[in-house]
Amino acid sequence: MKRSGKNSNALVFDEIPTMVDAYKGFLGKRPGLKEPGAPLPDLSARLESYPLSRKKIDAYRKVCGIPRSKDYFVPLLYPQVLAGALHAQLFAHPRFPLQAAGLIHVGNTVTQHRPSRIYEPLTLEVELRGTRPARKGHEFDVLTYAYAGEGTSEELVWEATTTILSPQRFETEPEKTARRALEAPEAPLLRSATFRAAADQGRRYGAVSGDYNPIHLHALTAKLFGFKRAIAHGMWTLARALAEVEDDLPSDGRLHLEVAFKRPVYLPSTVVLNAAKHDDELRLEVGSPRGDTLHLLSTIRPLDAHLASDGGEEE
Amino acid sequence: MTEPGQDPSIQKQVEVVPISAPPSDQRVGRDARFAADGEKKTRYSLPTALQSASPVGYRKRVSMTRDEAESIMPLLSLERPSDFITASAKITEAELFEETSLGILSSRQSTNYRGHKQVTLGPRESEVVSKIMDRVSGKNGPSLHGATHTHLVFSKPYRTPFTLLLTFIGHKPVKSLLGVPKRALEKRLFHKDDIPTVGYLQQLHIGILADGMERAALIASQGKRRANVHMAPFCGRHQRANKEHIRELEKLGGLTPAERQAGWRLAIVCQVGEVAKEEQMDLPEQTWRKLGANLLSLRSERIQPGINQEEKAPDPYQHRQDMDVPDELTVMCGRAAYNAFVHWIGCGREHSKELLLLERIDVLTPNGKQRLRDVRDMLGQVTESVMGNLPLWADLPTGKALSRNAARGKKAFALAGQRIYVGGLDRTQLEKDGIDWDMGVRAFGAAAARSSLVAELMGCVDIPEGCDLLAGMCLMAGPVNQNDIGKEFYHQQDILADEFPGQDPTSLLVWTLKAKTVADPIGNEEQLMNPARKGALVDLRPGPHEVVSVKRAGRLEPMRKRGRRVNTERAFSDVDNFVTDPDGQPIPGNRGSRWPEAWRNETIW
Repeated sequence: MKRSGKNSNALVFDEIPTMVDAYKGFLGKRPGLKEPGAPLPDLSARLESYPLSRKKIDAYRKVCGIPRSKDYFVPLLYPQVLAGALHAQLFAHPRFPLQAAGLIHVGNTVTQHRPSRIYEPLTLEVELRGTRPARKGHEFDVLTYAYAGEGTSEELVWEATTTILSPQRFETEPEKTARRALEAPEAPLLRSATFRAAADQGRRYGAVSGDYNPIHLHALTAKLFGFKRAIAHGMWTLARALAEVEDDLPSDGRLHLEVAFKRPVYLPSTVVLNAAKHDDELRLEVGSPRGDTLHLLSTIRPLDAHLASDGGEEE
Repeated sequence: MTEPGQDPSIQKQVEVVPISAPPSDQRVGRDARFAADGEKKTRYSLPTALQSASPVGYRKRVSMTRDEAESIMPLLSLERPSDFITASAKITEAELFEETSLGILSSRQSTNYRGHKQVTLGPRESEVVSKIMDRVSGKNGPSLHGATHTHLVFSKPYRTPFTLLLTFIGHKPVKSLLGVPKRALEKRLFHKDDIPTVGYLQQLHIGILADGMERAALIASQGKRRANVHMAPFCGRHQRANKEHIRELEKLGGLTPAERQAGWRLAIVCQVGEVAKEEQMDLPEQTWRKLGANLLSLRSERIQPGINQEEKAPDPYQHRQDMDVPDELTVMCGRAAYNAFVHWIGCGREHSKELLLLERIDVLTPNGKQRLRDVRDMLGQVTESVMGNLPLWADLPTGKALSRNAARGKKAFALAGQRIYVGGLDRTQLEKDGIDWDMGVRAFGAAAARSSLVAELMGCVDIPEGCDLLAGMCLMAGPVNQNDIGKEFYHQQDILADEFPGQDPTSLLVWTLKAKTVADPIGNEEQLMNPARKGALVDLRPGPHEVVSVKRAGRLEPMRKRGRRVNTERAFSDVDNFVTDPDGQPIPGNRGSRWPEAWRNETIW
């Protein structure tokens, strides 16, 4: 399965590695960062030309409530699900300096250059970037790239930046990082709906994503990590919210999404999604029904509009 | 649109009667607000959020022009379609959802009673239904073939906390120890009712729904499809005569023995199909949408500003408004009631007045105030007797909850308002005419609902800026239930006995026409949806997956349930008549989220 040595900085796989391998690697004490903002080792992993399973994608759709309107396309966040196993391999790597258990997913960006099709094998690459000091620990990014095609015809179809927090107490609180803040929707509401995160949601999403992090599975296992109950996967909450607005997303599927996970969704609970559109930008806010807790904020823009405003150009 | 076989002496065209707005300084709206931080939430505060799969949500009335109102008047005197033609297009999931939203999902029942459920069949099984219906006796009209779909509505006896309370009343302290369990068993096993009016409620609701289904098919299809609704063969002596056919229909609808044991029975067969051009109704799309959204916004209006408001009610309720329900509107409401009654009973219009008994109790007519006082006193005596006789042992286990419930009920029985109809049926005359009592009650429910609709819709014509409505309606069974308890246990006479001497009246409903500009967007909806009134909203209005099943390829599928995803779309949401606070802040979750287009656009069969 794995074609590179265990200690190689560039791991290469031709099958999705199992989480069990990764979890073994999570055990044991890690040295931590030498100093705040110290770079992470140059670790990367690659999954070669992986054929997608319609059955597994359908199971993922069902758990996330995604309609099968464009069922020949891969759901927007599905490459992230596949990449999760590769992320775990990096965190389990002997040279990864931070404690893998307790890492918190605080945000994500996703850029879809074009929707990939279910019959197209995907090649995934992940690599580490960072770190930077944050208010409650060290933040770092995991970059993920998804390519369709092979060899010279390989085409970047999807990329993402996953922002992870490694919690740590500082004696003096570092300055706030200049991460772009997302604001709650203020434009007229396009949709406002409630949906339920059931008690077993973490286990159900774990079954289709392979992410069996104990904080998502059961109240008892979540308590071991300081949560009062099990919490929903952030990427499930986002996928479920996106399922509600699928008809409002750019019709060509070329888009840029940003999400900040603010507060965990404890299981079971009911959350409210508010979606508003301002010019090209679709803004999503998921919070508690009473409005006193904000779980996530997300913005989605057509890719061309995003590139134009960022002054960047797509290659 | 021409009405097939319409005899002008049967259903009369209902005319638009505009309602004069009050002086400009009295043109106030409700302007409901959210409870501020730290402020106690009351029934007058906007709900914190709406968690509901229902297509209804919290809505405001939409103003209609007089022309629009004129154009929809034929909906208040609809006749049966004469035939179905080959459908020009297959029905989409979205159309079926909207039709169902205007039917079973919003047909007014007590919100804490889910006594109806529906199974919808496709064209092939509709044909099977048509063939069975050909053989059924006592139909409301001929069975039609070529339906695009057919709804089978099942109904069960009315059981709510109120009927639980009734188990305990009317007994002597010692006798009741034996009487209560006996009565509870009879209710459970044989579906017997404590007082007759409780049994009537089930029939009234069936009639209300049947009348609504005729309009729903037209509105959801923008005038293309019509409904041929039958309920007479499924009650009274026809029910017994059609036993075998009903079993066949119930089998098609997947009714299980356990459900039958719980009291579920077939109540309505509604055949829906496309009709010929002459029977279609041609209105602008905007009018259909507005009408659909308005029908979902109409709710009971109990509070009359300056008359029966609570002290703690918000300021707009504290001042009387110089407004009258025009006499012509009261007449039109009566006309619509008789329209519906003759439509469902099939009797002559003049004769219907001997069967359907309507008493007007107006504060504006001679002796009206005295009559109102008498009725109130009569109902007050019943409440006092019930509370006085309620055995202590029945009350203690629930910590006085039953007494409190009765005390609260007292408020609901206040008959304040400007124009009141007390309606009922002449039992003896119905028997003489060979009309089944249950069918009479069903037709009566339809009559009351259609009459109310006239007042509600007229209250939406040219609503002035800043006002919520111009007229509304409060339709109540409470006072007649109260009267019924008086008749059963305390030797009272029927409310209608004085007005119709020499006849055999049984009062069934009271409806109060109210002219005012203040409507509570939440009103008793919130009161009933949130029994604890603690702000934790519990929506008891059903979602489609809870009461509607669609039969596809021989399997019953709950409507709008995919995996764990259920409907959060509010029907006719494009009209955007959702309640907000005065700053335009919406109630979270109230607007809903449209069901994915791919699913909405699916053709079901």
